[in-house]
Amino acid sequence: MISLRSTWERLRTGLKKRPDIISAAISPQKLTLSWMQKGSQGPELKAYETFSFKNLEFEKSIVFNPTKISSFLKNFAKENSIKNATFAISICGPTIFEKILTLSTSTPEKKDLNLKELKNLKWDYTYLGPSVKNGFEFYICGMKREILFQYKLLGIKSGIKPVVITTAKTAQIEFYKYLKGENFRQNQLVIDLQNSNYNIQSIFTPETIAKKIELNQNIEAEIKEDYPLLATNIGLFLLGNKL
Amino acid sequence: MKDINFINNQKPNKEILNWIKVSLLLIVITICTMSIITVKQLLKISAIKQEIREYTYKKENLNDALKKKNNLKKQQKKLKKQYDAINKLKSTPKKSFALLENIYKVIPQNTTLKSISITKKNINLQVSCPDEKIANWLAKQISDFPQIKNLKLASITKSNNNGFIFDIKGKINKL
Repeated sequence: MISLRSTWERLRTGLKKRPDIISAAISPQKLTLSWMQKGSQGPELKAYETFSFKNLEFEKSIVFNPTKISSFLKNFAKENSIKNATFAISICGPTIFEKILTLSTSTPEKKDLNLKELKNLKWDYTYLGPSVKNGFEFYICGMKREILFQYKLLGIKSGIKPVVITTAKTAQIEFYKYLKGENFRQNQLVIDLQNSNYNIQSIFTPETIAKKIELNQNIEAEIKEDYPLLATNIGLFLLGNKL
Repeated sequence: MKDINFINNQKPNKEILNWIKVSLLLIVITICTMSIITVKQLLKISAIKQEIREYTYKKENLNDALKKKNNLKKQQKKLKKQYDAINKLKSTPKKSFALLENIYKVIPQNTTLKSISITKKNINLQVSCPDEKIANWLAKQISDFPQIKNLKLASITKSNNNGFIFDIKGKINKL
């Protein structure tokens, strides 16, 4: 029903116009929502809002209060008059399985990556680049199907279709790629990851992020502390726009 | 580098196009199904109409046949009546024959009965005998029959073989 409604909304606004993407980075402490559009010099940040979880609304990557979280999404879309919206969400937390694996081949099959921990998980992998020592590095991540289903239900409840559900690291890697632009090299990515102890957000500085996006001064003051989360949000926006 | 996305999404516009395609397909299927059903129904209706036409024609024929049958029955009844009457008449011998037989019995040897005619009311006899006495006797004998009354000699004519031909006329009382 919701799918039909959103499809009709999209039909009404025109086939050529892409739906707006609300980026949502969810962490055990807070939820950050941002609305971006394509600007002349990169993504243009139109709106940004942070919601802190004080009453166990979100714990261990499990949505305990979907009504409240969906109301955050709905209100954000309503306040900023975003019609025909979709959302891209990144999840991080203990129930998300993440691992960097070094393999001898750069083109492994899925069965080669079949770890014991991935059993009963919805999982995927991506090639990062050649390892500094030997072999090739892969980023593997997975999440429980019931948790994934929770996020899908969240989309149904809020009436906003989810287009991307991924891990925060995937969004951050996407932002890294955008940050490097034409100079992006996979071996450099692996080196940067190792140097940052696989905490890629530490690579991003507020200045580098500010250079890459267009934002007005009001928002700039608001997000001073949330630059790492903003990077995730931009990564989500870029992932959503790839569709 | 492959992007990791836990939900399989199609491009939004492609999704709409797919939705339109599926909708069109469903519409086409619905139209086809509806038309098949309608054509089937129409064929059934035409077959029923044809059947009705055949039955009406048969019914008309049947009515005619029934009328004919009734007429024939009536005619048969009439004919049977007539046939019965004829048979009845046939089975009962005519009383005139008995009268004729009696007349023939009383005619003497020298007398010849030339002709006899019996109608409902009259009786005419033509006898040939040698003289008038015998003719009178015969007339008297015959007039004694209960069926005959007023029997009289009407005329005498001389015959070729030395005798006379007598015409005797009378009335029939009741046969």
